[in-house]
Amino acid sequence: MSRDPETIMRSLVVRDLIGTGKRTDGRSLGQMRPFTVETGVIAQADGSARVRLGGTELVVGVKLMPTGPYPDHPDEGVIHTALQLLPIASPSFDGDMAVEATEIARVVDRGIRHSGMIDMKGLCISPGERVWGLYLDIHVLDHDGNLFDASTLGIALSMKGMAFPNSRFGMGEDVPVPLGEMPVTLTFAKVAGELILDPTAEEEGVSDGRITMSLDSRGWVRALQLGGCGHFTPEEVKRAYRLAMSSAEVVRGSLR
Amino acid sequence: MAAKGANQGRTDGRSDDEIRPIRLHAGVLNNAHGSAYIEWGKNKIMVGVYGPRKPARQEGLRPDRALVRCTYNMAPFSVSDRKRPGRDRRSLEISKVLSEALTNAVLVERFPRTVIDVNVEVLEADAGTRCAALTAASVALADAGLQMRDLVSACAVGVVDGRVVLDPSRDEDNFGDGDMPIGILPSSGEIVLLQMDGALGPDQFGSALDLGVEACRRIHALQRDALLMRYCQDGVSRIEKPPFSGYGGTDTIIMDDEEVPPIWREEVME
Repeated sequence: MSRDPETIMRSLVVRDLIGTGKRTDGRSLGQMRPFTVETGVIAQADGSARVRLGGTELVVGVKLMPTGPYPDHPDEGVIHTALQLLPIASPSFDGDMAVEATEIARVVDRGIRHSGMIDMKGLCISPGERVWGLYLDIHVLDHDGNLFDASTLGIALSMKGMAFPNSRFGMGEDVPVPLGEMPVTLTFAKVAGELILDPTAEEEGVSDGRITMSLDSRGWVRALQLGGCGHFTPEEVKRAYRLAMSSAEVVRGSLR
Repeated sequence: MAAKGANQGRTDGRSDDEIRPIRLHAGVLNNAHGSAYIEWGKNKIMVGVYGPRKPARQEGLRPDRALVRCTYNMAPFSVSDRKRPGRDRRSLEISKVLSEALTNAVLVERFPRTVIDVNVEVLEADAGTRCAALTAASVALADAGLQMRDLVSACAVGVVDGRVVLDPSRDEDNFGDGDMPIGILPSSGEIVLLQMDGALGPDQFGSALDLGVEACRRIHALQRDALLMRYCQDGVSRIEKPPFSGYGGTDTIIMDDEEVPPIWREEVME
């Protein structure tokens, strides 16, 4: 984040405004930015989606390929989630972004993995020998904050209607991949003592910490991550969970 | 599979001098200083330009001109088998020839000791990505407002069953006898990108080159249109985000209502 006078002045305005319950883009504190998800945009992927959440844009591509299972889970498939913070996405992504990218990918992965959306045993082809590898790749093209929530949305929606590509690997006909309810990931930034939903890059830059929660369809927490050199009181964390539960319902409502 | 017999058409029904359908849009990203999105056949490529700027690492800068640094990168899902993320020998070579071609088009002497980063993201690859990337990259450089002596227009020529064909498809590229990507500065007609592999004889070489250069001029008209669309629409420049072309099962979900869960209002009021 650059430290020129204009940026510093703006960050003060952003903080002060949030302290009065307002945000620079006119949203209320608990309001998500408008999002658009286009699915089925990459012909060579088994599932794909282009997500635009406010000024953030990313493309998700899902591929299913036979692979070997882990020795300790011989009858379960393998999920591999990777996220690329590409230099195209932000002027600040000039250097090595591997650490930041890995954290996002792993948090998103846990939310998907533990939500019950994917039946891991259902990815088994032949126990101990062959299972489906589910490769979830996130390609970030424009960064304006909150890549966690946009990534989960993209992955979950790109898999809708996905089929095991049996024919491509000489294993008979393609059959649909059974999917459970998708998780919803919600990220809050703590700014001026307030929790704000779906922070922009600028808001992330002035925040005193971040909390990300992935909730399943029952509202249970399936993944959680604190980040951004901040600290939260137990009350703030509980409040974040209450806010996440009600916000998740809003997101699910718009997807129905 | 390549078509059999000289009188038969091409696998996708095109005539020999026909280019696949192209969509080209300038100014499609928020953060990048200049950007362009191209769909060329099934190729989908996003280009974002940053600069001229001072890079984090200063080594390699030129005291007399800007460094045009193109990075060609393929998304893991852009090809049929998942591609491992990151650089490989192919992408490094393409990055180099694209950088060199684009250096010809930018007035690099106006921006000494800076870097102009051209980030090429191939989201879907379907033969001819480097020509599509080069075509979009020069539009993105123009969109960034850089001073340029020309655009770069590019198209490939292929040889299939002994016939010279324009803009080979993936099948024609895989099963054909040759592939020659060409990039030109359309105003001067000078060639700035030229590669070839396969087999091209003395009775074909000249006509293949002429056909390719003529195709580049057609591409140039599309580039001009894209830039005019970007800057001449009611005189206002703004970010337009055209939808990606989809395939079977395409769906678009939009959430733009103002809904906020009541709990937020209650808790904020406390």
